[in-house]
Amino acid sequence: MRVPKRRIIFILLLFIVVAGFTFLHFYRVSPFKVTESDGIYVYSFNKKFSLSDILIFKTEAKIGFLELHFSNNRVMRYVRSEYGNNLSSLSEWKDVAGRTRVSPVVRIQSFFTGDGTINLGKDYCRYSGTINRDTVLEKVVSNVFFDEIFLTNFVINKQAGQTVSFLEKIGEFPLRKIDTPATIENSHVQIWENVCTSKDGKYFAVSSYDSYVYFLDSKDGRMLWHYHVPDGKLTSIVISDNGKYVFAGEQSADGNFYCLNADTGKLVWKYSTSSDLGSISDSLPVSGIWTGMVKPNVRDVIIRGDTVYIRSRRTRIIEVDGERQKIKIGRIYAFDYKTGSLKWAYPKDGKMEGYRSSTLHVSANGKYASWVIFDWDKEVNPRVFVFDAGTGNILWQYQCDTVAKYFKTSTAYSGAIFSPDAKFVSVALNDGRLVIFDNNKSLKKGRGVVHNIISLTTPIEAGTVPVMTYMTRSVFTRNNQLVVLTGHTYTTPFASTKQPPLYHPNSTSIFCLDMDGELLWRFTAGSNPSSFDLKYDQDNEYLLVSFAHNVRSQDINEHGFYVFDLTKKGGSFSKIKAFYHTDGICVDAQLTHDLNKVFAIEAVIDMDDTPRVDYRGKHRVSFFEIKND
Amino acid sequence: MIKRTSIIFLVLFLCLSTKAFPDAGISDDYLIRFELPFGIGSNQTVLGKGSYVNALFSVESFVHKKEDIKVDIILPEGLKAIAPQEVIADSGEIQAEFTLRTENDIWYRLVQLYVQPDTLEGKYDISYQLTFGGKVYKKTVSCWIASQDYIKESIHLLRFSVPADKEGNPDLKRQENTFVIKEANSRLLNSFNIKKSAHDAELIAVELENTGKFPVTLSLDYVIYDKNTGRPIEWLANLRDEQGFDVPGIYTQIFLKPNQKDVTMLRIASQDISMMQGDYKQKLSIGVFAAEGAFITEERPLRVEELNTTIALSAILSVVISLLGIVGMLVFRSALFGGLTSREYILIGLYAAIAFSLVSIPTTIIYNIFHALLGPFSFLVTGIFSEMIFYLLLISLIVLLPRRGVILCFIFAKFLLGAVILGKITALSIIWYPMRAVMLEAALFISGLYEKDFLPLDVSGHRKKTRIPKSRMLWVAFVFGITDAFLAFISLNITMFFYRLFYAGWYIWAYVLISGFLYTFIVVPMGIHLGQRLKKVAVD
Repeated sequence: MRVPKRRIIFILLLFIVVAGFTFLHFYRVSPFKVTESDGIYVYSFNKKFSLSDILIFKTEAKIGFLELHFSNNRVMRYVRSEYGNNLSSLSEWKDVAGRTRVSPVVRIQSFFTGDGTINLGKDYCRYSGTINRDTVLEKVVSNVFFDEIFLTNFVINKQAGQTVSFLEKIGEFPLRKIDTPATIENSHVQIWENVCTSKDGKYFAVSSYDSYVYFLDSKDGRMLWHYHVPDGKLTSIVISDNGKYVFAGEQSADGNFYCLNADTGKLVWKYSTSSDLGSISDSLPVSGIWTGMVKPNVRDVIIRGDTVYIRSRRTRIIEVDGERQKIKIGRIYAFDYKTGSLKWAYPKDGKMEGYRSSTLHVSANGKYASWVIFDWDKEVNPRVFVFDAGTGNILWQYQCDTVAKYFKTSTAYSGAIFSPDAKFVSVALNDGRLVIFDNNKSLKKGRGVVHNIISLTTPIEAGTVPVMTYMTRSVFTRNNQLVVLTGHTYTTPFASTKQPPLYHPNSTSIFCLDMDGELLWRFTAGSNPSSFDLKYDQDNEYLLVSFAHNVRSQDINEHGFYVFDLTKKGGSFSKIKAFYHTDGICVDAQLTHDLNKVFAIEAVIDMDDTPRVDYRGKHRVSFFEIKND
Repeated sequence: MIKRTSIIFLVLFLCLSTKAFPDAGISDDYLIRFELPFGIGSNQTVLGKGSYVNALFSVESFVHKKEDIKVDIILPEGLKAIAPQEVIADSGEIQAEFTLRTENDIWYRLVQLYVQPDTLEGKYDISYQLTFGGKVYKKTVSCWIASQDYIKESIHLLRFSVPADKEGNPDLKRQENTFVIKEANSRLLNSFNIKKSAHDAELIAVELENTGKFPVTLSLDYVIYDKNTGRPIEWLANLRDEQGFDVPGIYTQIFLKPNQKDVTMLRIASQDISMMQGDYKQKLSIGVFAAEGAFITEERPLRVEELNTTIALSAILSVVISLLGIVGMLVFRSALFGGLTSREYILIGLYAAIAFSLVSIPTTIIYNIFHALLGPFSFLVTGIFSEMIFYLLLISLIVLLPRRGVILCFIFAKFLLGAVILGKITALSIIWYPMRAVMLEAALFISGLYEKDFLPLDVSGHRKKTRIPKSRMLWVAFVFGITDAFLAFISLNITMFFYRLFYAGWYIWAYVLISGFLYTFIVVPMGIHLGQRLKKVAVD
């Protein structure tokens, strides 16, 4: 009898499917080594795992805790509530610089029975971060001996009862592919994307690299509307306090600033800053990642009362005697946010030409605005301006100097920030000094009155090479304490080495100081802070810091964001609320005003700085719920 | 069941057989680090007699507690401390007192040490201790001391390749000591507004060997100078935006164990906007890390090139010829293809299929292999397929069908096969194939190969007794050789233009003369013979 070919193929396929499921059913990875000391059992696995991997265990004893230790120094602990107090809330490890570091242990309260199942992959993604291709489950640690413990990816049993965690991922909104992602060896975060939340926390908005403003529902990430800007990249976004408007700035030939209706996504008004600052037509072209620099870039959107403030800046390239020169141009604006009518601008007529300029800041009470200009080509040290935020009149100004040993001139890109009560103004100079002004005295005298100068990131001379780090951002807490974030270590701006001769001991850290310069707490992070958010209500005060790539260590395990509870007593280790690891770089993250949720943008990073690509991460906005014990 | 039981027994066995216990929690409140010289982590390295080295000493807190701390560093004989501020030192001991306040609070100092010239060669221990709250912690760190002459003689610069390829080998295709600006400075490219990659970079490879018996940490500096003014050129000028630092050049650190060779790659990103085409000087300096002075220096001229006008003109010319070819083919289609019968079309298709099988597929498969094996000389092998076999088939086809339009049809069919089967359809191939067809049709016309009196057989199929004169055969070979050499030159130029590559002069000449002219010149007479024999078979 002749069997038809189709039947043979069908039988073969059936056999393959059955064999596959059978294999999956019996596919198990058991620990290769088990050790015990003082009643603590360690089961060594050293196994890469996937989203679908399950840990299955069986024991007669009562499980107090069960920890999963991963190769990227993250630890997830499933614990009975009565057992957890005796265990450290931090895990300790050493980074590539040899520094001892700590990370918060992700604690998940569980009610284990004698045997159980842990959705290893899923729980990792919910509470710890993205599984990257190199992440390995190194060991399982518990207080009991398991009769049986193994990893499989075939679900057999029910999961043990989980109840609580500090941070739980509740959803994500995918963003479009980025043509030229940031590269691991490039110190610049090239993905200038922002996320912001409405005051009631119901909505969030994203200014994406793909030239779209997305307005989304916080509950499920559902997109309510989107707005496309025809040319250029969006670089800033804010939702008004009443939730009626969304403001977005772009970098484009027109350098537009948009006001959109938050209900419909329709344009209410826009302002083109290219009419004031000029645009590509008056500059020589620039290419590569710097193409956009000649176009006006609208950033630092701040809303106070019925006024919205922005800064726009650009670069003009000219050729003088065969050499290209960069002319920096900038201007700050104040608009009536409902109508778009210009209230004031500085300079009043024209533009600030020939100077680099800082981030714009406006005090919380809406009375004062600040801006800093400087330029090392002209050897101009930072000049601090404090304006009347209502009229644009200069109230006081101050000419900073520099540490001449290391610098011709200082810079102050992060600008002059105000304390919540506007009593103090702080300027972080890149020569390592924080200059704190007494605003009240300065207002009276009409010139800057220095309250204190704190040396925080002074360069150190490593042989003949000065090694420096710099203060990327700073913010006042509600108690007038100053939080300062520091960035990478630099040997020279031209170094392309992966191994700096020395990590500046104060690099990639978070400092909290009082107005006298006394260090209150400090946290050493492993990567470059890309953004921060500090919000508080009557009871709580949280600091959120997102981290992008570290060009020196190139450790992708450092990408993500930390949440610190500033109301907790003690040092930084006590204040750590949560850490979430992103496979790509975390370019921006924001808290909701009720301090219950976090929205974070993750962008792809290219780990190979050659035409070959080795992309890590996904381009997306993820949102998380902060849960309390 | 057996498996499960065996696992349980294995687990029990392992439990009973080992006593190891994991490190848990923070054991010490303070972490002490002493790096000699700074920046080498826990590596031990050699110090030169009579040199100054910088050591980093740091103490980090892991408690949120204000604590007064005292450190004492006891140096071995032969090392003398030169104290920084706040540090008390005599010839052999360094002391410092400070306060740490909270977790991650760090006290650190760079301490300069002098290695006395009369120190004996060997390994030395430096002990240091930390005192706080009545507790004392002691530790030691080791270093090697050798004469500076010994260290210098141990280190050999084996190679300094400018430019290098991605594997660190010298890029032989390109002119030595030449960079190409592919980015902002090339006004030509800017005017075309071609999208550029952020990855474009020039690579430099430095191969060093340590033949000594001590581990050594070296520092390597690479600086480019203006030839006329002697001023260092500021590469990557844009990065200054972030910091305002003013030190030019590239700096890196290399650790070499005894008897170790290593290649270090330096990368010059070509996003720079400050450097223009011209002649410069480049200088490589190698010294012992964290000690003064370089003991190996190499200075060479450096040529910085922009893509030149020949490349652009070649690209424009090829586009124009291609357009003319396409337009001409459409306008004169009846004159070109009207006379071809279905049988002849089938024959051309058959030849195109053979060419695809014997030329396109092998070239695609072996290109990377021979490129890896032979580097810039891979064209000598790949040319056998892409030039010799291709022209063998093409010329024999023309001998079989001595008509205008045959080459156009043949090349078009081959292009379509490549596009559909191998996915080889790019902007470059769209320009390249019509231009090649037009040029070869022109060569066919000049060579007179399709004229009736040239042919050894008449149109009625009767065999002529006379053989083709060698001079006519050489003329055809010469014409096709020159045409292919021209095509090879244009091909390199348009590749340089569209992919922003740069080839050394010798490579261009070798490619044009060997792969372009010589291979074709050799194979054309063979093609004529093959065509004649095939025609004879067809007629017989």
